[in-house]
Amino acid sequence: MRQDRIRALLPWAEGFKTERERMVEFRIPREKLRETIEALKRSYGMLQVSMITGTDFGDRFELAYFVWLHGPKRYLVIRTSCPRESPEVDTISDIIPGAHIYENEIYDLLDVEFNGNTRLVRPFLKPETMRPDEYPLRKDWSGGS
Amino acid sequence: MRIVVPFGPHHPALHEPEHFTFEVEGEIVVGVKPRIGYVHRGIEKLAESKTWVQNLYLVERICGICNVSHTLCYVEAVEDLLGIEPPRRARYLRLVAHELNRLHSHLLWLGVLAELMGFRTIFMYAWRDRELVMDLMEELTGNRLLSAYNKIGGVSRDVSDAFVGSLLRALDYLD
Repeated sequence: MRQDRIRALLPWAEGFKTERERMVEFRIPREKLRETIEALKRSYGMLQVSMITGTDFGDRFELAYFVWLHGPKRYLVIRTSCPRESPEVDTISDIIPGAHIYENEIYDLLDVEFNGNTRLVRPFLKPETMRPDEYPLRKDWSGGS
Repeated sequence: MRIVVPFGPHHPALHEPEHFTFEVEGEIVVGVKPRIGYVHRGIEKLAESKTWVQNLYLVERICGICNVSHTLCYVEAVEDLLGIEPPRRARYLRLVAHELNRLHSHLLWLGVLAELMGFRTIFMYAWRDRELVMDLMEELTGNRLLSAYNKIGGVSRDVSDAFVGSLLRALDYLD
């Protein structure tokens, strides 16, 4: 895929990589997340957010949004991160309603807050017997209470 | 008038436990709150504490039906990290295993779908034909379902000439 369209659409995106066929990876600052999704939706029409993953890197949590573009048939991997001291990003669930379930998963297991999403619940995937302040996907979680 | 109807987590129509709180107005569903996670196994977390080889058998169990997809994703990711390229023959054999997995998986859902609609005949036909694919899978990998055929850097075993014959015969029949 010609990346110039995406680069022109998202001037704040950086670190472009295409390690796999049909997959374009880039990084955005977390303040620009909503703007990015809105711009992509405006430009490409229907977006399919097929997965959001959260990873604990110690000093920061990294979120990767896997977005399928139906038009050019390409996967976008949009990476953003938030520092450990303020684990929060803006929600995209009002733009892409299907993203709610993935946001809830990360909120439940990694405790990243999605500002603006009022439907987040806990426990969602965790067992009900687990303490509410246990976040198993964090690397400092030692397992079981 | 709005009525709340709880559904699940156990119900004859559900294949796995999940809970829905439906809000209905007469015949119209106006809202639903799903509650999932009853069988969440924490595989991501478990994988952090296991070796690269152990994880191969773990990811295979993410889903038994489509197990080849999961091991294929996993071994390709590990090969990327190691910077190794599997032999050409192994890549073709992976493709055969993956396609057989796809065939049995589609025949499975077709049967299940028909059965849930009450169409038992299609269910019987689909699952009869699925048996052929499962037999091929056994001949190729040594096991009908979970085979761990994809290995880091290749596959677990080579094919025999006899397999090629039974593969072509079965594909002719399925056609």
